[in-house]
Parts: sequence; C-alpha cells; structure tokens
Amino acid sequence: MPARLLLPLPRLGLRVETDLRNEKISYKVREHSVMKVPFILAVGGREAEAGTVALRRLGSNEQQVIDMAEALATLKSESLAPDMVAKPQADAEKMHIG
Amino acid sequence: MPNITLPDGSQRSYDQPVTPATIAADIGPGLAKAALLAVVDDAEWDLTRPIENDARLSLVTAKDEQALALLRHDCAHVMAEAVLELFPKTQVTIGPAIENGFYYDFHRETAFSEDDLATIEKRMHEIVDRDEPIIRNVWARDEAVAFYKKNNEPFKIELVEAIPADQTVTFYQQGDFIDLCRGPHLPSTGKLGHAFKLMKVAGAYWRGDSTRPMLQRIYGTAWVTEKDLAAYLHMLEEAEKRDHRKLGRQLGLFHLQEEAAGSVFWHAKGWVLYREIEAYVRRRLDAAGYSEVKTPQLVDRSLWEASGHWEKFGENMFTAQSEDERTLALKPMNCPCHVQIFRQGIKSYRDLPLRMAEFGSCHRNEPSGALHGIMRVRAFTQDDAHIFCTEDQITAESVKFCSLLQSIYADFGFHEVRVKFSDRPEVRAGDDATWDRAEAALTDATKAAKLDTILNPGEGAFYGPKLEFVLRDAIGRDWQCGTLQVDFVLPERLDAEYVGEDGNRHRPVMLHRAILGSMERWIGILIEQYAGRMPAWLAPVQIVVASITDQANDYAREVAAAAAEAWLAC
Repeated sequence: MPARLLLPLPRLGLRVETDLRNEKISYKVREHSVMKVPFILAVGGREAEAGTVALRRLGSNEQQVIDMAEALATLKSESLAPDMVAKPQADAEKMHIG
Repeated sequence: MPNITLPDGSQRSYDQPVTPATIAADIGPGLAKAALLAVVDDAEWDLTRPIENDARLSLVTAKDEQALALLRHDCAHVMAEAVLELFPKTQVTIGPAIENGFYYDFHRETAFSEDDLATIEKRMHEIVDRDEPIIRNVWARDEAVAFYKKNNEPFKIELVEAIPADQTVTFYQQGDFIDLCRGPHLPSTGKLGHAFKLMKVAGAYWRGDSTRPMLQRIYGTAWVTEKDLAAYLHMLEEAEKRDHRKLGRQLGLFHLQEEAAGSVFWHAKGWVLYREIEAYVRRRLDAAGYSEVKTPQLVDRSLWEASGHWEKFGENMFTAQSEDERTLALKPMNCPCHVQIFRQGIKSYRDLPLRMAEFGSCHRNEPSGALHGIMRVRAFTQDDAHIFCTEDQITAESVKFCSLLQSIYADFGFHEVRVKFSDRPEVRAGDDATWDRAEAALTDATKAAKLDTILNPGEGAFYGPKLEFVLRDAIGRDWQCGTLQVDFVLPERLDAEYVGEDGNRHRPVMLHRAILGSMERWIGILIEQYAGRMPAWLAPVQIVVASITDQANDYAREVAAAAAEAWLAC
C-alpha cells in the first residue's frame, strides 16, 4: 500500500455501535457479519485490563489482539472517504490549481 | 455471372449462381465447417442461398458477435419446432432473438408448466442432434395466406398481411416445421450446438396490445459455447444473491411499499449511506468549482411548455392543481430551473464557465410494471449540474468533466468505464460548423481521459451530441450512469444570454452532466457491486464493539466512545 497522509479534517469519528447483550461472542460476531459490519472489536476482561482489543475484519476468521489506540488509529484511517486520503500526486494537482 | 469480392480484396468468379457455402468450401474445409452465416453487400444472407450477381461477401463464424443473434433466433425456431411436436394444437406466433437469448410467443389453452419446459428443452437437444437442414423458400403472398388459413392460424395471417407489398415473403423449413420468417438462419439445426437453456414462461399480449389475446412467452438463453452458457447462468445466480432489494431488506437500508410505488422509504442505515455518498460528491464538486443550488419541485406548466418538456415529456410528468387553478408539474428534470437562476441578473463572459449543481429531486411517472426496487423508480435524485459556457469552453469543460467522472468512479471501485458517443442525428438544431466543433470537443475529451469510445452514429439528441458513460460491475454487468450532453437549444428557448467581451449579447451553451445518474439507482448498483459489503467509508455501521463478558461492558463503552471521537492526532 502506498504511504498515506492524513489531512486535518473535522469529522473523522467512526460510526460505532456497542453490543453488550448477554450472548456468546461467536453469536455476536456472526450476527454483525451477516449485517456486513466491516470491523468488530471483541473485548473481555483480559482486553479491559491490558487496554487492548481483539479486532476481526469482515470476511476473515482471524483475530488480532492489539492496543486499543493503535487499532482505532488504523481503522479510522482505513475508513476515510477516498477523497480524504491525500495521495502525493493529487496533492501536487491541488497545489497547481490553488 | 457473379464475381465475388472477399474482405481481403481478392476476387472469385463463378459461371453460375453460387452459394456462400460453396465459396467457403472453395476457400478451405476449415472455413466451410466454421461458417454460420454470410454477409452479402452488407445484408445478412443464408449460407445456402445462391448469389446471382456480383457482390462483396464476408463469412460469419462463431467468433463474430453477429453469430450470437443468429444462434438465438435459430434457437427460437428449434423451440417452436419442439413445442409443435410435443403440443401439436399450439399456435406459434413470433420468436425473435433478444439480449442474452430468445423467446417465442405461443397460443395455447393450457399453461406451460415447469415440467413442460424441461420436456421441450430435451426435445430441442434431439432436434439439434437430428441435424435437420434449414431451407429457405420464397412464397407468393396468397399462397402464404392460404397456407395459414388452412391451418387456422389467424396470428400468422395477420403477420403475412403486415409485410409490405414490395417485400418478398419467405418461409424457413426444418423437418416438418415451416415458419414465416425473414431469416437468415443456420444451414442446419446441428450447427446450433447445445449451449442453450429455457428460463421461464410469462404472459405476453399479442402485438403488445392489452386488448388482444394473451399468449404464453417462453424465454430461453443461448450462447456459442457451453462455457459461455455456464458463465451466464453463474452470473444470474450471483446477481440473484446480490439483489439489492433482498440485501436492502436484510441490511435494514430501505423499503418500498404499494402506497408509494417507485418512491423509496430510506431507513436510518440506508440514509447514512445516502448522505455519505452525497457528502462525498458535494466535496468533489466544490473542489471542481461547481456551486450548488436548490430549485422548486412544483413548477407551473408554462415553464415546461417554454422549455419543450410539456410537449415531449408531458406524459411522464405528475401534475397538481393550485387553488388559483394553475397546473403545476413536479419537475422531471432540473435544467429549466437552472436556466431561471442563470437569468437572474446580467451575466458577463467573465462569469463563464458557470457550473451549477443540484442534488435535484425529480419525479417521472413511469408505468408500475417498469419499476424495479430502487433501480427504476418514480422519485429520484440526480447528481445533476449544468455548465453554462461559451462554445470555446466546451472542450476544456468536457475534458475536466471526464477526468472528474473517472476519478469518482474509481473511488467507488469501478475501473472499467466505456463511453458511448452519439453524434449528429438527421433532424437537428444548430448549423454544421457548430456541430463539428461540439463533436470534436467531446472526442478530444474522451481521448484526453483515455476512455474507450463506441460510436453511436446519428443517435445524438436533436439539441446536441452526447456522451454516455457505461461502467462494468463485479459480475460483468454494464450500467449506464454518467452523461454529458451539449445543448445549443435550451438557452435559446428559455432566453439565457450573457454579455460578451464585445459588449454584445450572446447565447451560452449548456452542458448537461451527471456522474452517478440517480442517487437511488447508484446505491442499488453499489449494493449489488459489493454484495452488501460496502467499503468501510460507506458502511452504515463501521465498527461494533462487542463485550465478551458483562465485566467488560464498561470498557466496551469506553472503546466505542474513543472510536466515535473525532480524529485528534496525525
């Protein structure tokens, strides 16, 4: 993947929901996968203590336990609208027009 | 005696009338076997039909696009033959090739069942194996009428009688099946191969007229190879899995109901998607120098009369009466309203190009049978804009537009885009020099954007040439979305003008342009493209934080709050 620069833009919070129901995590994961949610963060006692999250991407069975801030930084940058991702080339064009 | 000129320029002479099949055999046995159809002086011609005069000849094989329509038409005949063998009391009517396949309309008291289709299909394969020669015969008109009178086939009599007097009446025979047909056809049923399948049966009125008898239309699909057939059936299966109506319901995006046929009820999640796309397009338009406006929904019929829409488009417009008894129409398009904004105040050449954009809510009264989910609706929102410019600015504006469109399509994940270029029709407004310049401008623009262009000669609007942008989705379907139309007429009709550098009044040119086409249809296309799995930036819910135990609920809330928070650090 090419290097990406983030522009300082105002609204970059993710559209997020919590699922705190008293259900098994496998059930929750299945249900949100059916609803095509791109990212699921599973958190239990261990994650709470360590400040981590278990990240699952839609379509993958693997999960990755990482630092919460790091996970959110990655997911926020992956969720940017394509025009919000500054590509070096596009930047040059913008400067030329401006 | 005929001199035959082949596509490579070489010539062959014959002492007597000669069939394309014979010529093919003279050229080589490979070609004789592969040839399916001939083209004689630009007219399609049966391989077995003698050529009597000097002519240019080319041969069509399965590799040529033309072969498909021929195979499909033959398939319709083979189906009719099978139906008559199995259900002798049936009357056959018409059976053409259509996109992806063919149909034949039958008149029969009893409805065809699913089992009947399977039986018919089996018989069709047998007819192909019989390899019956297909023979063309020219009949006298009276003879044809007498033949069908004897068989008591009123539909066919009507067809014979509708053939213009200066045209010959031809019949094609294969086995015992004789059908009135213009042709051409394959030399024998064996050439058809086995790459076909019957799909469904539906009702269809004779001649599409609801006052005439209801016939049974059997649809089939036919391809050159069985591999092509399998690929097509797989595509249909995929398309069904991806059906936006099903996914829209499953993902809670929208619904439609009878009481508002053709208008979408957007649910919260679907509306997030809609707004995200709108916001994205708005940002792109802002950056490209457009200014956004909003114009009225209900506009007096006098404006539509002046613009010409009332006459040309009136049937598709919804109207309402006001208390002072004026007829107002719900706008079916935005252009006349944009001209009204342009006309406010004096415009100078310095104001041009003026790029006026609107997420324009439009209504068109489409027949309910034509509606399909959110793809074909009555109420839709165009990502519409009109560029008012001078003739000299058409090229630069078109180049900019093509590159913007390409970039936007790529951002949505569509990288295969083709362009249909429709040039001057016979009846048109404006002089030839103006058309020359406008057409050259559009050609230059597609070249600069490196877009593949297909020419549709003479298919432009009477008011100017146009480009239509067709994109291909993940399962190989084509969708026409974007458009760029040059218009010399509307500014004249609605009296838009600007003051030129010379101090005189001039008419601006209008470029009508849209990229997505309609927001509703675009979202339908996106849902099917991604099978509901939207890219993260469009997903209505991007992230779910799920607790594994109750003890982690507070932490889950904390993570969710951090996720929802605006970006702070780079």
